[in-house]
Amino acid sequence: MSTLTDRLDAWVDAGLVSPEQAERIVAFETDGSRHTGWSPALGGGHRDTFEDTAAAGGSGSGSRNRTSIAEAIGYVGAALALGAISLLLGQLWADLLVGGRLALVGVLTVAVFGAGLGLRGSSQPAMQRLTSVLLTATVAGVGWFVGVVADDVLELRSDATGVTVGAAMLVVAAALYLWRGGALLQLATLGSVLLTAGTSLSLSSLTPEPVWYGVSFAAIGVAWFLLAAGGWLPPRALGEITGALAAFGGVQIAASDGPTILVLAVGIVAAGGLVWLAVQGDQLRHLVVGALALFVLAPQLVFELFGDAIGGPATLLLIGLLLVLLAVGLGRARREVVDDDSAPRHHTTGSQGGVS
Amino acid sequence: MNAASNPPTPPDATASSGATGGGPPPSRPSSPRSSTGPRSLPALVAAAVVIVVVVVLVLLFGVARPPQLATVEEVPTPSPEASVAWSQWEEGGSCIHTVDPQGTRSEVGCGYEGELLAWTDDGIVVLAWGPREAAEVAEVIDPDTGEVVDRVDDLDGEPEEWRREPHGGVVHSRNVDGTLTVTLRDGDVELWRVDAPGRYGIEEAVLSPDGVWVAMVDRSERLLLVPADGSAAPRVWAEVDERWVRPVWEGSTLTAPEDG
Repeated sequence: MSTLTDRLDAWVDAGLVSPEQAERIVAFETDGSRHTGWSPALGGGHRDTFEDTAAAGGSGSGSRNRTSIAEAIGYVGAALALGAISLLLGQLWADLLVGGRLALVGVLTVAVFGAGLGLRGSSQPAMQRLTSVLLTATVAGVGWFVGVVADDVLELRSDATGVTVGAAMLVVAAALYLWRGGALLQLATLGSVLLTAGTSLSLSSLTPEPVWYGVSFAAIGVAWFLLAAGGWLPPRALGEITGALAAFGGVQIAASDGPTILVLAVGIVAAGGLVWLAVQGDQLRHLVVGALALFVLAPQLVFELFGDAIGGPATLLLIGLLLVLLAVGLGRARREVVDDDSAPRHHTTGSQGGVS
Repeated sequence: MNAASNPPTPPDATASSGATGGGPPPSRPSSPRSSTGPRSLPALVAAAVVIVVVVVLVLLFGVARPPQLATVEEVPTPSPEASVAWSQWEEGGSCIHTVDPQGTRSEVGCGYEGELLAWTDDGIVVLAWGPREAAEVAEVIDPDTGEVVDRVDDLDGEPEEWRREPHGGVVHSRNVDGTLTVTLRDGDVELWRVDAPGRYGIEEAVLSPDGVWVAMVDRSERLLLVPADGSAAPRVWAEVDERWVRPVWEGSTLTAPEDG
């Protein structure tokens, strides 16, 4: 553990911060500020470990723990209340006229959105997270409202209703995500994209084969991964993980019918590529998703190729080899984590991994 | 993928903004618009290329159209003497619909929670979903009012034997190399031969009580009407919104299912 000034000198020498910034940091720390260890540069995801701030960080940590517990209890309570409201709505829904349904859903959606707007300026982390939750709930509310309009007012077919709901949610989610950003809104946007794509395919008078649903989802997942990796979809780590999961989910759907062996082979190559990327770039998230995909897809391919005769032993062998590969990769990733703890934290900023 | 291995952002920019108070609140999530991290144009282009290529592939090879057919309303003759009824799942439960020989569609009612067995002189017979030991296993629905007018509790055999999944009914449907051939199972009469996408086919078919017409449900969720002697091409009788529909003819009888 080194002193703050030592570390700042090292950072200045390394070109990470300018001398002026180092001076400002020293002035900030020596002014008796109640710095709690919260690091803006890291999106709130990490705390300093410097001796200079340990005392202040100690009291702040206890306060944050209490806040987190209170926040968690609040969310659990809200979930229970929402569940109760849902049960009540389920009983009342059939008896409500269209106007009543629209009014109910509309009021709820506007209320949730208004609450999110009201809290958007707060600098408290808990309020920021609540804002994201409320804005994400707004996306769901808009989808619900549009669903009532499409189904009860316009009386569209179920597939057309699905496309309408998905498109409306996508527009709102994308707009809110562009405005506010954050993990939940990013998830809502990806979910809306997938919903819109899937229901759009179902609009066809002759439902496409599953492989086309899978190819579409996989393409969206790959594109999402690329955009996240390219810095276009913060938080980058979440975008990469969800994009990869969507892509492999698409592979699984595509493999359910049609050219199963080809699709599984492509999926395994992609999963292997992700593991390779993880080992090369010391990215644990890539390793986890890639290994998961390998565990799911590889046994299927073995059974497709060899059937039941040698499928069992071959699958066991494959899984064993995959475990070895995973262990090697985890070893590398662990070294990365250990190195991170003992070195200036400049790696993690690239992931922008803060969850809102 | 270049950006995946790009060096991460040094903390200077964000740190300075946070420390001086001139930037956004410390824990505010970074939006795509306000993100100050490096952005990879090749990644954006690659993502766009992936989407465009797949959209083109889906439009070219994934989306197929079923054979285009005239409707009964467009070509009203010849026409059968009876209507058909079917049930489909809707918001209010299982709803029963009918279509008359001229192609006029009506909704009998909803909430029956069962599947159709026949349309006898007494009404439309619905096999209620429920336990095998249910004493009352079938209800008779008045097609005009939608009311339950009778119950049938002496069905010959177990209820499960009456619940049959649609599997072609009285026709055999084969799609080989883009040509669909539909033949009657009994007599091997060819009802229809048409160029069609490989995924297209007939899900269910029921012969009319007089044996002159066949009502078929295709995979595009259309109820088709075709002469049982194959003398004319099928016409679209109604859109049924589901492909797993088993129609029943008006005037059909409640007969026990055959083994197998």
